[in-house]
Amino acid sequence: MYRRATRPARTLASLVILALAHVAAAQAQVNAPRGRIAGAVLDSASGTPRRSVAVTLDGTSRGDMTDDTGRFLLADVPVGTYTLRTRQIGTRGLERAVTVRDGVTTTLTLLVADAAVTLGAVRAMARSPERERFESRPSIGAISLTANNAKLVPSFGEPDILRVVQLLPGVNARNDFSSGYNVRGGESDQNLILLDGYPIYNPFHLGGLFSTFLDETVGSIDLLTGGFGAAHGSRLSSVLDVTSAEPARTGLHGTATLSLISSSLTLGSASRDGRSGWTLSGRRTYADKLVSALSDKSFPYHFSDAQFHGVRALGAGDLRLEVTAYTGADILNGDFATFGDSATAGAGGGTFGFDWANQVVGATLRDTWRDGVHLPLLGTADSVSVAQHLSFTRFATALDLGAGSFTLTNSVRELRAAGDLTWHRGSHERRLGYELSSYAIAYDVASSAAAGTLFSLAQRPTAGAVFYQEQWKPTSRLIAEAGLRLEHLTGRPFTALEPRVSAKYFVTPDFAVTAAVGQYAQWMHSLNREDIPVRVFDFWVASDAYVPVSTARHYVLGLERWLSPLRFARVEGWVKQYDHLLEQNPADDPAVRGDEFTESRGVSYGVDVLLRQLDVGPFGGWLAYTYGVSARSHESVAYWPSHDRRHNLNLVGTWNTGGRYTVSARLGVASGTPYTDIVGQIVRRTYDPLSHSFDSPARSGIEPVGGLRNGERYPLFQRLDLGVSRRSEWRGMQLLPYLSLVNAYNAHNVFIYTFDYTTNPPTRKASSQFPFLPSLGLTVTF
Amino acid sequence: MRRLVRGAVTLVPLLFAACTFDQRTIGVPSAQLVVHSVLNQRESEQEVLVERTLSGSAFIDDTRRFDPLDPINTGGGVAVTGATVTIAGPDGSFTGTELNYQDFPPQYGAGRYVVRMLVRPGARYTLTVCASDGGTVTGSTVVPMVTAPPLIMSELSFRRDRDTLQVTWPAVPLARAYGLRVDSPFAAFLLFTDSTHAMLTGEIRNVFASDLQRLFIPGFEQAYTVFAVDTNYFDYYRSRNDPFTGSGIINRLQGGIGLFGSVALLRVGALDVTQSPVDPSIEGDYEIARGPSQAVPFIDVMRLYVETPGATHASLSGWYSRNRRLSIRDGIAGTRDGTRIELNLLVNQDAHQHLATFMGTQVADSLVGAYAGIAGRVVLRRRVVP
Repeated sequence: MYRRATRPARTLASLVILALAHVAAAQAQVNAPRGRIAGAVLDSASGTPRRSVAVTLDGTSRGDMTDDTGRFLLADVPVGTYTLRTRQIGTRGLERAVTVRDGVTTTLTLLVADAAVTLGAVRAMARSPERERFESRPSIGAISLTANNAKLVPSFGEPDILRVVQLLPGVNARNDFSSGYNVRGGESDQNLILLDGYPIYNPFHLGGLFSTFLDETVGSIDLLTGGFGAAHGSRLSSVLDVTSAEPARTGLHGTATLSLISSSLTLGSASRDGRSGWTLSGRRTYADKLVSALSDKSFPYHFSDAQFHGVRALGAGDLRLEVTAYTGADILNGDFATFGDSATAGAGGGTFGFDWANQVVGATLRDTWRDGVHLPLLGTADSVSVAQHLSFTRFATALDLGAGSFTLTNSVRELRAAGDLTWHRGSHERRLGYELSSYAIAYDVASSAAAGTLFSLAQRPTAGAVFYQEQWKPTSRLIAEAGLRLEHLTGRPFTALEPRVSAKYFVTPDFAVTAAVGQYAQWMHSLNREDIPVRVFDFWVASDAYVPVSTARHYVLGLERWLSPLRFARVEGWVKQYDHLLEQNPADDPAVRGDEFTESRGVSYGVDVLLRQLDVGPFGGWLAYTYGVSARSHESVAYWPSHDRRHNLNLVGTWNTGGRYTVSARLGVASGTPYTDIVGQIVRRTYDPLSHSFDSPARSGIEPVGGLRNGERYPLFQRLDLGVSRRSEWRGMQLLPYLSLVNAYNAHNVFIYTFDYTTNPPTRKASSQFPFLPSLGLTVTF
Repeated sequence: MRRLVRGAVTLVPLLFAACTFDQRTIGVPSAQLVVHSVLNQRESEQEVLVERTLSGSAFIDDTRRFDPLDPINTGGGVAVTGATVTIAGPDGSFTGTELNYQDFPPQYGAGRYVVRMLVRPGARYTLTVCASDGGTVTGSTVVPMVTAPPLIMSELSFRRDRDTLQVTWPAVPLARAYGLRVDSPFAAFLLFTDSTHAMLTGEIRNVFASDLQRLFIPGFEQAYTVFAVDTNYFDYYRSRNDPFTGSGIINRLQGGIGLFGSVALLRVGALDVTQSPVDPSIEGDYEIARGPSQAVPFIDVMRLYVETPGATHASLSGWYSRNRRLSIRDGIAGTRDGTRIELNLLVNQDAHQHLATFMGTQVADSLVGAYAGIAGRVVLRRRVVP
């Protein structure tokens, strides 16, 4: 099975190589006296990259917008001397004389400074990426954030991008204790999370309190909440693509962050010619060290991360190699003899180990050719971009109770090759690509001190996909995008052709109607139960002969209106239908394969509203509101899934006072999610065959008895977070101390209820989500 | 066991959960009938416990010492009296009786019904429980086909740092699985397997004990049993209700919650657990040299082991007897914190039930102190050093 799957892989790889060869041949035919200008635009004060700066060349039609790393490229410039200009809202324009020589790439580093905002001028000069996407893409359910957006949102401990993602329209977080999220009524395992395009499993630390993404390494975040195109697959609900920041400053520089939770250090450098750069970052929590140093107790938990991202241009063209590597681990290893109340355990308590770790390593080869590139089947293009990705992702967890007395291990490995080619000509964009993933999944429960293996599952499926997508702008009022994605999975086997169609109609240049429909499939499933309100991580199992592939259909209809160059409103209504939704079967038998899941069907529908003020200038933020309804049915029993939150409002704002201070706030108000009421308790009595009697319940325990599944709802959730940071300089370093007040007015939001039916009358008490949590931190940039 | 793991996984974040608030009284919901009964073909009296789920209708006194003859009242339950209990099988229908004990309080033994009947291997039995105030619970079980009496193993001396318990047994028709149970002072250890053999190393930790203490504790006589179980027994004890949704138990009763299953004993044995000397400064056999003025001392003789050594804290275990004939012997679970010694004298080798607690210090070859709550100096002198 595994061997058979490598044949399409070789075929696809051959096709990509063939296409690259054709492109190179066509490229060689373009041989005019031209050169290029490449460079980066940096903040003159901090040296950080400036995104979305317009770079133009007087007397030519050449221009570019800097990307997340501040880079720009003006290609195919006729030989000569020009005046190069930069323009951006809120920065002083820059002029620079530049000479272009034949076949030479002239590199520049441009330092720009802040300036007063003049909106009238801005309107004519530059477009934000959001506006550009509005004008050029169907952009259904697409939201982009920069690292700066995430940084400014007040948070507990340190900035966390997944926490910020939870505040976007269509996204719902079950509670404060989880970085996991549900998108437009989908289950939490239906979100594809990518780091530089490479899949990453369970990107969470500390039971979901923090994500694995180091804030300083993040360049931008793109979230697709539904109706996404044919380029993405393998998940039913959303795609979150986190792109690493690329260094643009020469020389060694970095950022150190000290928070109550952890410390991190990020170092980076770019070459003088701007053709290579790297970033290396690391983080570790230190609560374990502090507790050990300050008391005789132990806190046997810490997590750590390390991430590397490097880019290097190859040759004289646009060919470049990008490498990303991430490793992170949570370690919960201790001994009951020293952990907790040792008076009860004495020295006799046993050791426990609970570790989980993520590793991702990936490389991308990327190239772009402009003007006169000819491809077979596709024809001559204005430009062609190609990318080839190769990555390896691993998630592994190990639980060990009592030094091997009971062990559980689960690992997911994914070796993935993917490539795509994007062809542009006039109003057409054609994109084709492939993905090939080989999985190795192992789930073992064993006891080395007892009976050996108690349960074992090994899966090695291979999933392949090819897609073709065409975007066309036939008139200035219409953008249409149609794609097909063919997916195949070994092991089950499963083959599906998934159409994805979207369109945008401009009623006026600032107002558009959007629509999308699409079909999606998912073959990786979490063994976790959605009804459990905490999520340490997911145990993953692939579809196979016993486990079906889940499918979904999306229908999205939206309106988007730009109210000003920096402000827009978007309303999208959505309907999602699900088949073969899988849920962990609590009654599964370890000796029986195929009963791990129960199947259900479902539907979700709702409306997202987004009003966004782009944070160029003193104000930034957004208002996100979602009304959503989700329903599921299993064996003709209907219920609300536990993430069925009807109303969810998040107001996020930042205000740069114009001086050194930046003030931020987040207000969240949401209706309660469903929960299962506990309607009693049962005394479990353990039978002893030897004495033919039942044991003392002290050895058995009392267990709750649930009522109607998710028949009750928690009360309203509300939370106000405030933050302030002060920017200053000291000996050439930029200091940014910050203060965050999470749940500033200490709203009591219910996490769970616990019930006691041993008293008369019975009682119920609530456990709160985050209480008032002040936290301090300091970021030093050098 | 997978549920145990999942429980552990889900409880980790609760370490970080914040405060509790809004404690309030709530209404009393309607209670459900709960039945526990396991047919054992070795026995002529089958026990059926009938109670209700706890609903807050009565205060549960959890301080009472557990009494197997009054398991519901002393076991934190709400007994259902006056029910009609019937077990029907190939030999007809048998009705259970709620035993009345003279010289005991009126509710003593309430909810405990005894059905006098013999159980045939391989037969199907149906239980019907009708509560006097309405509600009927039914269930059925097929008894594993065991025709031979259980093999009674002689008690073995088991040096846990060296020995491994290995048990084999024959395959049993109609058995869903086999259970291996080892009694332990902290929690009974139960392992289900499809295999016909099992092995436990002497140092294995008890994953059912809250602090992962070792399964085999020196100084204790620990019984082990191997038994064939039916599907109901297997499913009921391998599942549990999670604390968030109150669901998870695999319940095969109709009209209520609980278990009507069947088992057949295959192997019965006991281990006299010892260990090689760890700390000769304190380990050994002790006898009373001086005690409170009462007829029978709590400790007449005892043996002490350092169960787990430590630089400052150590865990102690052993046995004690209230007379030198050793006719009654029970377990000791204790600690050593520096020079301070605390010994809990257990009842029925159950770490949750204490007869008395000795607290004192080590003075040369003696332990000098007193029993908690009892006036009078106690001196235990060591007479045998390991």
